[in-house]
Amino acid sequence: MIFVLKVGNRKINKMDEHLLRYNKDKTFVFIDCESLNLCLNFCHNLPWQIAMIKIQGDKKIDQKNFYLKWDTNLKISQDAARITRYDHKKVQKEGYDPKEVFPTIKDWLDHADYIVGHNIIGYDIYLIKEYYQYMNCHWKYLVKKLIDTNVIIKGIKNNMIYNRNDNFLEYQYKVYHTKRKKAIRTSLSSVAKESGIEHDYEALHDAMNDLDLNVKVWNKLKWQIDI
Amino acid sequence: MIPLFKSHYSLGRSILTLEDKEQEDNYPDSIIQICKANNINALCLVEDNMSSFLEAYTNTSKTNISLSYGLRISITESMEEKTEDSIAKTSKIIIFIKNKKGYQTLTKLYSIGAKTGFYYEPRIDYDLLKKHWNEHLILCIPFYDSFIFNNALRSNICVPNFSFTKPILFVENNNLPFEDIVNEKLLKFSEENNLQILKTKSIFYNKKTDFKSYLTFRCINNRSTLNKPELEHMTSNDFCFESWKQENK
Repeated sequence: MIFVLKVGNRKINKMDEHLLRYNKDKTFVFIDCESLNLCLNFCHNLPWQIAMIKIQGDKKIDQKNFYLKWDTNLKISQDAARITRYDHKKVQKEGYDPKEVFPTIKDWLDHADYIVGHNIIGYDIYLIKEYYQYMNCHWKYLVKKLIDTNVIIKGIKNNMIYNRNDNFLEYQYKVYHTKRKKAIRTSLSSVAKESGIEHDYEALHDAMNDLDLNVKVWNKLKWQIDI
Repeated sequence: MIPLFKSHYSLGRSILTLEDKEQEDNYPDSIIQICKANNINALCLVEDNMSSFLEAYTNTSKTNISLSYGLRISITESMEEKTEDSIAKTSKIIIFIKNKKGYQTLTKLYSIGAKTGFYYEPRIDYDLLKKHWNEHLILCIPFYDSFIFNNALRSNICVPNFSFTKPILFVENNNLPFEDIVNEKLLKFSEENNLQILKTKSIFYNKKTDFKSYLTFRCINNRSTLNKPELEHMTSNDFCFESWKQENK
């Protein structure tokens, strides 16, 4: 099934003015974590790269790309190293002490109106949660801000329409827990390619490159869902 | 807050045993030993099947610990319906027994559920529960996988029928991101139906540091690995006795 994200060029209906697609004041922080493996707890996994892009309305206003150097015996899994193109020397050379960069990450996430990620509900939020807990900080207030582009795409492709009167987080969990149909592809690259988005696809799985693509996909997705 | 222990008899769900031992050793931790070491005189045991009852009853009787035994079982609209659609109408309940008569009823219910209602797992339905319901049982709604939880987070369409008793609602907080959504729904349901809410904590391992062992155990059962557990939301190390103890200081 070919899936094309449509960009709306419709007139703004007065009733729709509150929708995110028209709001130029809200701040979005897009976040992507690259980690040693897919475990959701720091007992066996740690993020070695956290990239963030700050958007206001449609405008990119800042970005951060942190390599994190942990004091740990954990090793990156072969799969993760291959897929994420992990460069040990680079992480050792450019990596920060996680305690040093945490205040910036916390400041960005705390002050964002929305925190966007691809599969953030099923993955990144758990690494963020573990990171906050490692720093003895509360994190639950972040959950209400989450927007998961992977879930939105899955919802659209499964015809699970979001009713604007419903709780958006609840909707996202419902879609997240819905069994994936075999033919449906929701990865950033496949959806972006289907939609004809221009991008450097060769560099995917570098956190910052992924995020750039995530922003482009979101800019199309926001016309497809009434939030 | 009530600690709800689960033993290894609930296959693949807990790494705690029901052995009667005096102190910690290099073998798996025992619920009985934890109770003795922490002066817990009333043990609440919630299992996914009934095979632990004999050991639990024997070892708690020996050590003067009073046992509240509960079965966590799936309940659906109709046991006869064995289709994929019926999964969306299925949720979990906990049935506690008060005495021997309660045990007999629960055994009967579980047998029917495991034989007649079986579809991937033992299931009963509301009609069966109503038919066999008596004053020797207590009905509780667990926090996770209940009809409230499934309807809120899983697009399920569970329609409960508790016309025959007033269930007690369990609430938990184990540092999971979706708990607030369920909490809100649970409070609303409790207010609308005038139901009691009890703070509980499910306990599957002793200490927070045991989480890695627990996760390994879950991965083995799931035929996955620590690097790729493929266990949704498996992040919290709070399902442990240590966490309960901290919150009850």
